[in-house]
Amino acid sequence: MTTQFKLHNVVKRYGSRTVLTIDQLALPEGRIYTIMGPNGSGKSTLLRIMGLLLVNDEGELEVLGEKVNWEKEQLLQLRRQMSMVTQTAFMFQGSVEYNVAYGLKARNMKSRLIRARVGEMLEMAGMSAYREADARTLSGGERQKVALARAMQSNQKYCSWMSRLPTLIWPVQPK
Amino acid sequence: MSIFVEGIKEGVYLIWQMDPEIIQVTLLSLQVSLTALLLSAMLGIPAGAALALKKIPGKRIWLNTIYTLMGLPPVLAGLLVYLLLTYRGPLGQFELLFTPSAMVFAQVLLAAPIVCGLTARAVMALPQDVYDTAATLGASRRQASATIMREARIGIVAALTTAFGRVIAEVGAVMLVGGNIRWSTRVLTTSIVLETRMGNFSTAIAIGLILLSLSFLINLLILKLEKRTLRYDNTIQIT
Amino acid sequence: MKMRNHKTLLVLAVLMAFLATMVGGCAQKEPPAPEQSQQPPAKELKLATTTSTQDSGLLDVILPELEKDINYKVKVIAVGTGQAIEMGEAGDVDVILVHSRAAEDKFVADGYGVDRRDVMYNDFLIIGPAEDPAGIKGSTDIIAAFKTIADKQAVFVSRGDNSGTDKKEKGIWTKAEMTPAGAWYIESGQGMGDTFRMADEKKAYTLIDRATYLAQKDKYKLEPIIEGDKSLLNPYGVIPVNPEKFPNVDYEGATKFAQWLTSEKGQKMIGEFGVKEFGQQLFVPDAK
Repeated sequence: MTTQFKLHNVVKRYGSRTVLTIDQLALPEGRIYTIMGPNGSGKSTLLRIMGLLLVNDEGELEVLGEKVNWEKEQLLQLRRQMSMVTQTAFMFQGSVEYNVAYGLKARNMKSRLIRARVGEMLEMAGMSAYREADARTLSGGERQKVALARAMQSNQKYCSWMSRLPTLIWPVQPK
Repeated sequence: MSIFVEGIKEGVYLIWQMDPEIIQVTLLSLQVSLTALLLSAMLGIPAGAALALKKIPGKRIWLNTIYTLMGLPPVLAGLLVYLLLTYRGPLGQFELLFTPSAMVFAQVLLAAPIVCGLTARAVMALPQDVYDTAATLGASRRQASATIMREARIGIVAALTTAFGRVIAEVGAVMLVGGNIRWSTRVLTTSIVLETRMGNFSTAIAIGLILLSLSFLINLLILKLEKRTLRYDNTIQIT
Repeated sequence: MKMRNHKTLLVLAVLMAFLATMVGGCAQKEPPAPEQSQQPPAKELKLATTTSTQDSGLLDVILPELEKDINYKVKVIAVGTGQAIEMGEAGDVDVILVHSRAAEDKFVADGYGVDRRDVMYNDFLIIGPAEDPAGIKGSTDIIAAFKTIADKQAVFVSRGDNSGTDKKEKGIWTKAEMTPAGAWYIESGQGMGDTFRMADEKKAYTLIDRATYLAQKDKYKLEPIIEGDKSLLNPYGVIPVNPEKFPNVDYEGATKFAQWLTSEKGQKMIGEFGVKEFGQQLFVPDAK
């Protein structure tokens, strides 16, 4: 069982304030983890570092078995194996289809294949009816579903989801 | 009051008659200002985006400089370009003085800072989510940048319309570097100055109305284009 | 979404095509019916002259003939006298036509211009409100009249822009041995037309050239107060820019231009200008 994530002496500061200190953290694959804690305890910070959106000030970070050197080639390669759904479920300007297709287009998938895959992902999320809708007209819950569908790419090794509990209760169609 | 009525009548008459001189002057105004706008967009949009996104030493000073240049007096821009292009000046050998190219040059000096500054602001107003979402979905740096610009496009269009409004209506720069030469470098604004100076007020007003109508039409076109790309009205609804 | 992209691309393409026709400074739509079809293509001649010369309308009448005869396209840049001479001193134009004798002589003496020729003269007049607050109407002594204006502090609008007209006016003040100053003396810093307008608004006296006065008097209420005095004459000179100082100027064209103005034909046209429209000559041909 390979270890997906390893953190060693990781520290993150904002100015003079230390917001995160992790001595040791190792997360093997094949499991679902929940991070819980009071407000301001550094949950989002930890997830953002692990999601390669934030650079740690000290310590080592290992993601998917690789030591992170924060070079853009490595970042791109690692990011394309992960995905993240944020609290706000930010939607790009445009339709639901545009949003869900975004990751696929970024990976230079062929248009015909994208259209098919988008259909699958939307059905999985139960949002097929909203395919042509303007993404900004969706309610919070609907946005979260679209964001989840958007984040589910092929070859995903890791997916994280930041939200306030409980946000959403919906049956997932196992694939 | 009757002067305005005279002016309107004369304006309609000039357009109706397709008076060749008015047509030429109008076309030249459009060509000069649109070319200046195009060049300013090519310079200003990337510069504005870079200013907003890149870590640059003294970024605040750069931004402040751009904001100040947004208010550059047109006649001063004209004078600076004039001094560059005069025969003994640094660029004198190109013999560009009193040509439409000189006018475009001067108007770019006016428009580019506006495009740059307002683009920077539009990009700076975007939430971090834009990049985060793009990056975590697997966008490369280039793809993420394109997405950022796409999200900022309303602000960028506003930058372009503002810059256009500035240059189509200015007279100080084009008068100095163009010379208001008949059939050659005379545009709508310099025509207004000439007619006013000669005491032909109704003609001056007529030309002014043509200028305003032109502005209106062009902005309408831009608005129509914008409407097509945004199906949902994003503004705040007050009940 | 593909449809939207196409529309934007189409508009951009049209825009590009439109601009492409312009790039290179070739936005010149010639006046309809160009006449030189058998001759070699007309060259360009850059003329700097004053706004009052342009506004008189004289050039609009004589230039078409002149251009035909010497096979040149004259580009007229009308600015203040000071700026016109500056442009000659910078070598940005080929020939200047101004009315400021002292400045013209200096221009030649400093080596910027060569072969100065007299062309014509018109005259100035003092115009003012019908009520004539300074009581100088019909006076034959300009200098005394100016002194009276200053004493009575009657409102006077000056060009204040170092133009030929302005220098004439300043010359009279100098002869009257005084420097005008005070709330009554207004320096507009603008052209003759604008100054005329301002003087009318303020019901003031001003010095104006006859051409501008005749062309615009119907719009305003000011009347002639003093005219005809010899000191109010306004002679024009045409001066090609010195090719030795500025090898880029077209000396040959400038000379042809000056020669045409002083030729029998040119002089005749100058003398005839304005007679039909205003019933009087605006410019008196004066080539020697």
